[in-house]
Amino acid sequence: MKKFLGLFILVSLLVVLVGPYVPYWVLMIGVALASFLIGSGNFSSFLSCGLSFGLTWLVLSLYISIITDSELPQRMSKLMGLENESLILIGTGVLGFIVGSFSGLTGAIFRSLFQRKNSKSALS
Amino acid sequence: MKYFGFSLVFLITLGLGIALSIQFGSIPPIGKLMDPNHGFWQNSYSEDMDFEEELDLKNLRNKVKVIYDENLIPHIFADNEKDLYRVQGYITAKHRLWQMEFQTMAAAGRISEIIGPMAIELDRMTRRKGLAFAAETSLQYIQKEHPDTYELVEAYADGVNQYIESLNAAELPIEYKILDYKPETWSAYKSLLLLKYMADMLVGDRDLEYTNLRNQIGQEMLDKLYPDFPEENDPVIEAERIWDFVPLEVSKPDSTGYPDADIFVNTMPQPVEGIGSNNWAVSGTKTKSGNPILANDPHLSLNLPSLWYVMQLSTSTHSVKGATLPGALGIISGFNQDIAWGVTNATRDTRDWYAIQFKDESRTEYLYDDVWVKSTFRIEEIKVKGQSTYLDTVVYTHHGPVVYDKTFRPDRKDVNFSLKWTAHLESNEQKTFLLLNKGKNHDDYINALNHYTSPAQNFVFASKDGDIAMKVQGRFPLKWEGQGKFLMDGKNPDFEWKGFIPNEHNPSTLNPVREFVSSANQHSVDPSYPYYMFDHSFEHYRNRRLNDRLQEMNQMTAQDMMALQFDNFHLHAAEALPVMLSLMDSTEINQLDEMGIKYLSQLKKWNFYAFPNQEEPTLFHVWWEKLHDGVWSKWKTEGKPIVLPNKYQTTKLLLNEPESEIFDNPATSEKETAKSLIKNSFSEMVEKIGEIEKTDKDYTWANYKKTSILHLVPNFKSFSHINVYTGGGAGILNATSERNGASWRMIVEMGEGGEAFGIYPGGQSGNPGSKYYDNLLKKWANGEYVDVSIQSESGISNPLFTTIFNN
Repeated sequence: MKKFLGLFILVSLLVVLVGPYVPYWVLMIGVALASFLIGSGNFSSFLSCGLSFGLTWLVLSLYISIITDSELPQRMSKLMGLENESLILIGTGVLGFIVGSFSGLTGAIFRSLFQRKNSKSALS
Repeated sequence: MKYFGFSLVFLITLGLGIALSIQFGSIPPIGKLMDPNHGFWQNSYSEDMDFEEELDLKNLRNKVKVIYDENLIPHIFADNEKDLYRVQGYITAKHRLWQMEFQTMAAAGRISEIIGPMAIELDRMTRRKGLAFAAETSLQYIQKEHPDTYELVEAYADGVNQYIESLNAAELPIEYKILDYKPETWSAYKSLLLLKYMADMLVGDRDLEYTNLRNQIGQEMLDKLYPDFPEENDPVIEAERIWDFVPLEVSKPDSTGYPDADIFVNTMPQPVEGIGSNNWAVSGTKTKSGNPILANDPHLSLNLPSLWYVMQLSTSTHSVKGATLPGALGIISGFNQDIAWGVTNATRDTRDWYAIQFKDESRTEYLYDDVWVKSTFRIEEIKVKGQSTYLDTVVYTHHGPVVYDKTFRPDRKDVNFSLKWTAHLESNEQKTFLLLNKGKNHDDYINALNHYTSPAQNFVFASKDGDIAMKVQGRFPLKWEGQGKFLMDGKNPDFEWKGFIPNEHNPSTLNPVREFVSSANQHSVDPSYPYYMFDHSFEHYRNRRLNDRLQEMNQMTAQDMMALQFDNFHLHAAEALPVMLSLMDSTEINQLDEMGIKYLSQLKKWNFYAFPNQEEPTLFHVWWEKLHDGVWSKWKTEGKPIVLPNKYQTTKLLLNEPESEIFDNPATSEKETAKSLIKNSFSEMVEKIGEIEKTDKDYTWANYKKTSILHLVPNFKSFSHINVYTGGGAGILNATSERNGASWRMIVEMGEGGEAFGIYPGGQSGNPGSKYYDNLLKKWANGEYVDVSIQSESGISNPLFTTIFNN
């Protein structure tokens, strides 16, 4: 659980602090690296990185949406054929989850390549 | 197994990373677009939430201060012109970069690069018209002959480029993110392209259509239905004007053998009806304050981001304010402390077509004056997004580019039509505006106009000194009577333009007796003007309404001028409807159903105004369309372009010759008359309005005409405003039709304490995420204005923010 939380916080910091300076695919490498270093289990890394990445994107979007009071999210929703504005927020979060989770899983499995078979359970 | 598992997950992750950052067909790169740190979310900030108080700008000589007022109108205070235009470039790019680049891409025939193969046909047309060729010609000319202008255009370009360099991924305008491309370097050439884009938007010709018409209906009928001057000519330059110059001589060749074969080409799109403008100035004797008042409202395609961008440009020697065109230097329609000016399109046939006879298939030589002359080739490389480059070879003769040929739009292999157009000439329109911006009096205005070639404009003028003036300015070819109305013979020198009308002979007036000057795209002059003047698209209604009102009004104020710009009187309806009603048979009226009776009684009681909540304008509009179609559609042949008589001549015909043979359609067994066509079109109107009532429950004018302000990429519907509630229409002073209308309204009162007002349908920001993207739209639709008077550095109340540019 500790590693789950640690990974969660690390990924979240990565997205907030490094995110503005690099494209999202660099963050994906960063997440994989974090997951590799922390060494949580496969499923745990998948979930932790996914939730962290997705929630951070969701909160960032929501924050921008609230402080700017812009019509843009609504306009973009319509442009993408979505019914209402909240769907684009959720969409951003889901996309973040997918991107984060698979990056995290990649890092975790990569680490497991260097470990003896069955030394760890899937969930640690 | 675990290697397999890793490989699989790794590939999925890699695939995600790549797939989300590239574009599939029209689907944008989703990952890049949704990333809250760089994607569209970052475009949600309005300009006042995210600004710099100080910036470094290279190549400045002195500090420049930019103060934004509450509507995000920037007021630039610079020491000298070079600094001023460098910062104008930077500021314009900051708010309108995507738009200015997109418009010049359109002018250069490069839209396929952005949106893919569906734009190839459009790009080929643009390039074949020679817009890029024209901008290159002008660039070389300005570099050589006007280094002073060139230096300033370069400074502007440098400002734009310093902004582009400063952009990071998050700040990129949203259209780039959605369409997935990046801004390229700006250049002086692009500024010139923008002015050619305006020429293309405003200049048309109907030579090929007229050629077909003459073959079809004969010269006599053509002269009758398409006269050079209308019965009620109320020209731009007052009819009483005495022409005090000796005209250049030009005589019609003895035998003019116009080519007379029917032409089957899909001709290019023309400026739509409704593109036009109003401007006027009234002398101090007619105003309450005793100062001249000037008004201008150019009617163009209603788009977002708005075509216009309002600015104040100040140096230590002058301050000028008004509407700029993003990409061009200075103010285009505006005023300074001493003078004010405005523009309307002065249509004239400045585009002519020549049929070319080539020696053989290679088209390397063409016949001219009995000798074979070498042609030149220009290879147009059209880059296409997602596809290989499209190569188009355009042959140039001394007349100009061969637009229509065997590879482009004809149905016959031997078609080779060369285009001659004043927009291809060497010119420096930019200088006209640079000089007007710092002009002080009537002499300065005339001097500035002398540099102006195309698209020809009616330049209205008023000064602090009390002068009012109007000049029709452009470079007009010197033609013999009737020259260039039809496709001409490219091998016969008799068909060459005979030179150009000197600027001093262009129609103009200064302080006329009637104490006002005005223009609304009508005929420039009275038939007494000693040069041949022809165009197909002169307007016949706004001018007469405007002049009638200006004649009878006195003690005028800026508020009166606002009301006049927003005047919804429908003169065409006022002239045509009584005729149409009088042609309705009383027995027919008795046979009308309930709906028919309702609509008829509405029309009979109509006051001829076109306010948004009225239903009568819809009834009239639909009836007129059905009637016009009923009278003339018999002339149409698939694939053979013609133009139908305009509403003015059609109304005259209904009034004066309702029994005329012209109304009969020989293809039907019965004999049509004006009366029978009126009857049929009325029934068709009743049917159509009945349908609208059923489906929409509403046939009020605003709901029927559906004025729409569309984003420049028409697919971006949610960036547009559809069905804006506002009145007016084509041919009405408030010329707001479905897609065209007053793209900028300006009123300036000269003199001490004079005020200026302006409005346009949009906002200062080009960013659809900003609250300044469309904040002026509602005011515009309601006929309201914002104060755009010239401000001193300390005089701006409620500034939004200030940016200081350091060298």
